[in-house]
Amino acid sequence: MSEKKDFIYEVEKTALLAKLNLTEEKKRQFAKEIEEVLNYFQDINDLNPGEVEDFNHYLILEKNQTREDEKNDFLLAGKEQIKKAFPQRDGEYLKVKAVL
Amino acid sequence: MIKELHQQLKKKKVSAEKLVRDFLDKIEKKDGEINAYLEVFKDSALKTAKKVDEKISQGKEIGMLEGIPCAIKDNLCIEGQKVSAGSKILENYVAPYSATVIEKLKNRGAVFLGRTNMDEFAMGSSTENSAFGPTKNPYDLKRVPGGSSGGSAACVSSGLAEWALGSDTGGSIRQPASFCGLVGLKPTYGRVSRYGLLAMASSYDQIGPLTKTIEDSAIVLEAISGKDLKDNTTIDKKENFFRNLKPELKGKKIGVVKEFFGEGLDEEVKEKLQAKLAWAKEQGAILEEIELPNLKYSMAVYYLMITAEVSSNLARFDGIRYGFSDSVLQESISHDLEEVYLNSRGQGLGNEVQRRIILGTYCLSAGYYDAYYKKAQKIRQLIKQDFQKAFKKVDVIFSPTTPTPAFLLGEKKADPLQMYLSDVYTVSANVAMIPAISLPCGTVEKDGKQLPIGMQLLGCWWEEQELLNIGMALENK
Repeated sequence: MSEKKDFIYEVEKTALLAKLNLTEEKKRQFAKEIEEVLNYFQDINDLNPGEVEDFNHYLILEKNQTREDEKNDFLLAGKEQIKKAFPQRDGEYLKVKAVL
Repeated sequence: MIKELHQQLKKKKVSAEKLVRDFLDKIEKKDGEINAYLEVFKDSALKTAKKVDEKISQGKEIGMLEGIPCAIKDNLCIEGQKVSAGSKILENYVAPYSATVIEKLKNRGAVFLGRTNMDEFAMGSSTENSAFGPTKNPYDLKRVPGGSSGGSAACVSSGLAEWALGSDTGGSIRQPASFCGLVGLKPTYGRVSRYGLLAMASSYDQIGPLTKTIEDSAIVLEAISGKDLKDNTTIDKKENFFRNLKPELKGKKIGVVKEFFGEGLDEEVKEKLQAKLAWAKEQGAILEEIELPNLKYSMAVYYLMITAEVSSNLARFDGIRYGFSDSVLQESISHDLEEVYLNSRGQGLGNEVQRRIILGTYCLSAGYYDAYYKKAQKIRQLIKQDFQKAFKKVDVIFSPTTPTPAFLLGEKKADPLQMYLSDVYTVSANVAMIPAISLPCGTVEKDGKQLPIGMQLLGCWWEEQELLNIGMALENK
């Protein structure tokens, strides 16, 4: 995080990773603001926590939940609602733009 | 107050339908200027109320929340209703199922008046980040109600709902409660199921009540908490918060952290809080200064971790399966799938959400992951250990909720860092996953208006009852 110009480049690169189309103006604005925020949080650089023991506030550690592989009525009931929410559909199918 | 309304319903002094109609009238008259509601569920609210009236007329017992009108933050799913999280990207999205807290409240006959305005995806401290316009503070319409649960706070504060649900990731229940003169409770992480809550930062989010009194807070918490198989972070720990409620102060150890009363705290707010502490001491509370050496890193840990969690949680909003999509616009500029993602997210998400996604993605990207995210995770553990030590010495920790009373609309909107800093006293509870409550502590005058201020009590994990009982004693002054 040295020069402003470099950080605009970082924002540009990150925006592509995050799949966000940003205007040039927004890139400049975010670069300035995010750099300011990161600078403000620089104090964590002074701290070297080393190896830290995990602290868990749960009295009883919960086990993973597993379910029988059975037909789920909720999925059937919710199916129509979920299909209704598709931005584009073709009958039973969700329609999307070409990948390539 | 919930208990009073419950008694009136039981004694048939008022019908549930009349109660709902009174609230609907008030909303009609007042919400134009406050903008607390994004949508009012008139028909379904009246339908629920009529069912409650039927039950009462048949001489059946009704529960404490039955027939009581409440409001729901717009990031909680209610089956068949729109849920937008204050975002354009979900403007017309209809929830296909209900959140666990909503199911619990439905089973208890609670009446949902509507969904309330909020900062987009709960990111913000003023409700100015809503895609549907800001909510105003009922105490001074030129000021913000706080956020992100600003709509929920403003509607309870102005009598447009008896109580409301909010969600708190770094202070989003407590800060608006403080700005609007209410009680706001963030439960221990794991106390309330997050199933059906539109996730912001999954290891920080908790749902909780915004109410007029501690008693109401206890009633609602009891109703919404408990083990849920659909949220594996919840635990099985049934408690009767309402029945066990009793004001307690004598002999209670109240921890005070010097940093919480240092630079940045408004002088008048400080005076009010210190007067409250002095009063508590007179009543037999024992004040003890304590140290939390890593507290100063809370803000950094919070913003580095939540933005990372935000960036992955919000990856699902891509214009493909639901919500706003550039691909269906007449003026669509997308030619392939990749461009649909880029453009739908670029146009559908607001500034603050995009800023946090970029910051979070940056913190998680190769080369920065160790320096930011991983390090923040470690410091989070250190902060938890600090609190663990502190709660061996004291029962609760007392602090301000916010550095100042409600600020002006537009005052901090252009400066994200300043906006972030308004959460300085609230984020540590979410970092440490402990319960915390904000309750009214008088008012201070600004520009000729009396503005409420809040005090915050931080408690040990799962000790909500302690917070409520001590809070009740402080509330009764």
